[in-house]
Amino acid sequence: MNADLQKALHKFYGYDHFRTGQEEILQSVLENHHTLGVLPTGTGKSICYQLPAFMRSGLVIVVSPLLSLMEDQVKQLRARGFKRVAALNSFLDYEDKQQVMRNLQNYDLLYVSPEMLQNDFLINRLQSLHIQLFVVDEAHCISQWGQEFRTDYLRLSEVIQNLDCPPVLALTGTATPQVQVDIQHLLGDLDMDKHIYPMDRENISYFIREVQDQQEKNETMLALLRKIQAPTIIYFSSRNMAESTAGIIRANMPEMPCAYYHGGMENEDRILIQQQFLAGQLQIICCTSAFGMGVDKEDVRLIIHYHLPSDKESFIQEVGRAGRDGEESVSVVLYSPGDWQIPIHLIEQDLPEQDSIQQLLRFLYQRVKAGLLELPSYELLIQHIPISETQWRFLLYQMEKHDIVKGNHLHYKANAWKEFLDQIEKFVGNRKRHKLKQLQRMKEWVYTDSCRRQALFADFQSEVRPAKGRCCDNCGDTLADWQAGLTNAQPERTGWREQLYHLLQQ
Amino acid sequence: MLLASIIIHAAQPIRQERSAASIYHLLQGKRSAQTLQDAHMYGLTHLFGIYPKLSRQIFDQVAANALQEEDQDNKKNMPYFNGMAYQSQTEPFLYRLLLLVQLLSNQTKGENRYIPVTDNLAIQHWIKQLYRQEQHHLEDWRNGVYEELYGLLEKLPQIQAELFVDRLTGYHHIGLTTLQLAEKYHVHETDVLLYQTSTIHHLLQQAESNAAAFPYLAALMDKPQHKIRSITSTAQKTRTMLERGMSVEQIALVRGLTENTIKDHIVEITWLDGEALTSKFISDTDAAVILECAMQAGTNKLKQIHALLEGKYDYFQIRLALALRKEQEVKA
Ligand SMILES: Nc1ncnc2c1ncn2[C@@H]1O[C@H](COP(=O)(O)OP(=O)(O)OP(=O)(O)O)[C@@H](O)[C@H]1O
Ligand SMILES: [Mg+2]
Ligand SMILES: [Zn+2]
Repeated sequence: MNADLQKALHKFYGYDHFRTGQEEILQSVLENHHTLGVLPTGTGKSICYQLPAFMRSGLVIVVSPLLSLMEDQVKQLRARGFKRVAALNSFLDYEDKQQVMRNLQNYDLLYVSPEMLQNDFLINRLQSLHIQLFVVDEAHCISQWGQEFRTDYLRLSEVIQNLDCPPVLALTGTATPQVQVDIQHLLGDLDMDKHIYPMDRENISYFIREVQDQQEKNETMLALLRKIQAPTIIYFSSRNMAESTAGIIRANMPEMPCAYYHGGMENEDRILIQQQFLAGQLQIICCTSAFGMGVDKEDVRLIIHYHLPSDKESFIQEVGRAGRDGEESVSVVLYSPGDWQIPIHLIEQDLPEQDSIQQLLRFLYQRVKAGLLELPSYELLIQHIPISETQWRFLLYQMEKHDIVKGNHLHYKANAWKEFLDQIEKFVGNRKRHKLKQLQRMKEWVYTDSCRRQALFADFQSEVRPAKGRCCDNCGDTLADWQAGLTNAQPERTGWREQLYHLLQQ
Repeated sequence: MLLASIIIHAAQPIRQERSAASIYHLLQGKRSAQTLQDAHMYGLTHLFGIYPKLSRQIFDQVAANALQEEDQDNKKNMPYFNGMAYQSQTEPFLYRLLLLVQLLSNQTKGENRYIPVTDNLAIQHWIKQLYRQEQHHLEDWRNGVYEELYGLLEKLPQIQAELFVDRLTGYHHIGLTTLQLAEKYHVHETDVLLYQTSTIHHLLQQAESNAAAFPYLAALMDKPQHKIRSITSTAQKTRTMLERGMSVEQIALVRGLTENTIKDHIVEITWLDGEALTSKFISDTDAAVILECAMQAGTNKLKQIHALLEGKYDYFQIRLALALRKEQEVKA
C-alpha cells in the first residue's frame, strides 16, 4: 500500500480507504504509463486523475463528452476549494474562453470538449506547458459516438501526438472487450497498462414491466412512484415526452416534487433543477440522456426507463446513477411492443441516406466546376440538400479522411470522388448494421428469461457477481416488499416572509 | 395576463402611427434611434427594455389577442416600471443580489461549498470584491439586506414579493426556475419575468432616491471600489503606445509581436475599460450596426455575424463591438 497516496486521499477528500481499483490505476498513472481504467459507474473514477493534479506539478487535461458533466465537475471542485480548475467548451463567451486560454498556466486541471481541442490557438498554448496527464473520461464515447456525430473524438490521437505524447489515461464504466480494443486503437495504438475491473453493480436489481400502451405505461409508472417514494430518475428518448410526463406526475402526485431536465433548456434552469434534485427539494426528475453520465447524487434509489436507449452501454450508464452510496437500488424498464420504433428512427436519423450523399456530391461538384473551391457553410447547404447537421459533420469528416476536403477547401479528382461514393455507401451500411445489432442486443436483454444481471453484463466481463440483495424479476424477485428508506422531505414554508426569514435570519 | 395589459397600455398612444412591431422593439429595448424616439414621443419611456428576452413569436401571439379585446383588461393596475432609467442595471443588480443572498445565507451556517447561482464571471468577481472588503461585517450585511428587502417587498403586491423570494437560493435551499414559479403561482412565464423586473425597478428606485435608508441595496448599484479585473501588463503596454498615437502595425513592429496579438490586447482593454480606445478602429454607428446584427441573430459568433453583414466589417471590428456591449452590461 502506498502511504503517500493514502495520505493524499485523506488530505484532499477526507476518505480513509481507496475503493477497488483506484489505487492500482493511480499507481500506473503516477509511474507515467499510458493507462486504460475500467471501473463500474459511480465508484470513483474522477479521483484517478484529480489526485495527480493536486499532488504533482503540471497540467492535467480531461477530455469530457458532456457540457453539463464538465461544468458540474468544475463547480463541485471549486465549491470544495480547489480553485485551479477550469472548463473550456464551445458554450463559453468569446471573452471567457480567451480569459481561460490566456491563463492556462494558472490551472492544474483543465476540462475540455474534444471539439475545443481542434482549436489551434489552444493547442499552441498547451504546447508551451508541461502536461503531466491527458485523460479521456467516459472513453467508450470514442467508439460509440466518434464515428458519427462527435467525429472530433477520432482526432484525439493527433492531438496527443501534437502535445508530444504525454501519459494518457482512458477511463470508462462500460466497455466490452471489443470497445476496449477500439479505445486503445483510436487513441493511436498506445501501449497501455490495462486495469479492468468487473463493471456490474452488486447493489442494483433489474425489473421489466411489459405494458400494452402509453396509458398503461403511465399508470404503472405512477403506481411505482407512489410505492417507492424515494429519489428517482425517469429516462425518456424525447424532450417533449419528458416534459409532458413530468406534468402528468405533478398533476397526479402533487406531494412528490417533480421536474424535467433536458439539453434544450436554458443553462441557468438546468443548473437550478439539478441543484434542487441534489438538495432533495425534487424527488423525481424526468429527463433525456442529457442528465446522465457523471451525475453524482448518492441516494438515487430508482431508475425508470420510460423509453430504452439503443444500446446496453447507455443503459448501464443511466442505471449507474442509482445507489452510488452502496445501498440497494432498483432499475425498472417500462416497455411496450411499439417502443422499438423510436431507436430505429434515431439510428436512421444519425446517418445520411445514399440519396442525400449523391445529391451533396453533385452540388459540391457544381461548385468546383464554377470555381468555388471554398467549403459551403451548413446554412447554405441545407437550402439545397436535406441533411441534418449531424449527418453533415459525419460526411465532412469522411471527406477529409478521403482527401476530398483539405482545410476549408474542396479538392476535385474524378477517381477519388467516385471511390469515396462507393466506400461511404459501404461504411454507412456497416455503421447502420452495427447500430441495429447493438439495439438487437438491448432487445434480447428485454426478452430474455434468464437472469438479467448475468445477461446484461455477459458481453462486458467473463464473470458476473451475485447480487447483494434482490437480483431480478427472472430470478423470482419482486418489489412487493421493497421499502426504500424515505428521505426526509424539506418542510414546506408558507409565504415569502417566513421564507426570507429562513434564508437570512435563521 | 400582464404582458397583454402592457401591450394594450403601450398601444393606446402609439398605435395610430406606428406598427405593433414598434411596441415589440420598445419592450425589448432595441437601441435604435427610432425606438428611443418612440419611447420619448409617446410617453412610454418607463416600458423601454423591460423585457430584453421577449421572443418575437410570443409577442406576436399575445399582441394579436390583446389588441382585439382591447378594453377588457387595461384598467388593471400597472406594476411599477422605469425602463429608461434602469434597463441596463436590472440584470446586474438582480444577479448581484441573488449571489449576495446566497453568500450571506451560506456564510452564517459556516457553509462555503456551494455552487454559485450565476455563471457570469463579471458578477462573480464583483461579489468577490465586495466580500474581500466587507468580510468582517457580514453580520451587518445579512441583517441589513434582510431588513431592507423585507421593508421594500412589503410595499409591493403580494404576488411580486412571493415570486421574488421564491427565486432566492440560500443555505440548503435552491431557488425556483421561471417555469416552476409560473406553475406554483398560476401566472404565465412571461409575467413571472415582468413582475421580477418590476420588483427590481422598485428596489432600484427606492435605493437610489433614498440611499441613506437603504445603504446595503444602494451599495449593490455602485461599481466596486477596485477594477473588476485588471488589465494584463502586456496589454497595458499596448495601451500606452496607442495613447501615444502609434498604429497597430507600429506597435507590433516595435514590440516584436504579431498584429493579431496587439488586436487581442485592444479587445481586452475595450472589454475592461470601455470605449476610450475604440473610436480609432470603429465608429459608434458601425458598432451599433454590428451589435444590432448580433442581437437580432441572437448570436455572438464572429463567423456568423461576419457572414450576415456580408464581410463589411472584419473580425477585429466585430470583436470590438461585442466587447463594447459587454462593457455596457457590466457598467450598470
Ligand atoms: N475512496 C473513496 N471512498 C469513498 N467515496 C469515494 C471514494 N472514491 C470516490 N468516492 C465517491 O464516489 C462518488 C462517485 O465518484 P465519481 O463521480 O468519480 O464516479 P465515476 O466512477 O466517475 O462515475 P460515472 O461512471 O458515473 O462517471 C463520488 O461522490 C466520490 O466522492
Ligand atoms: Mg465519471
Ligand atoms: Zn437475476
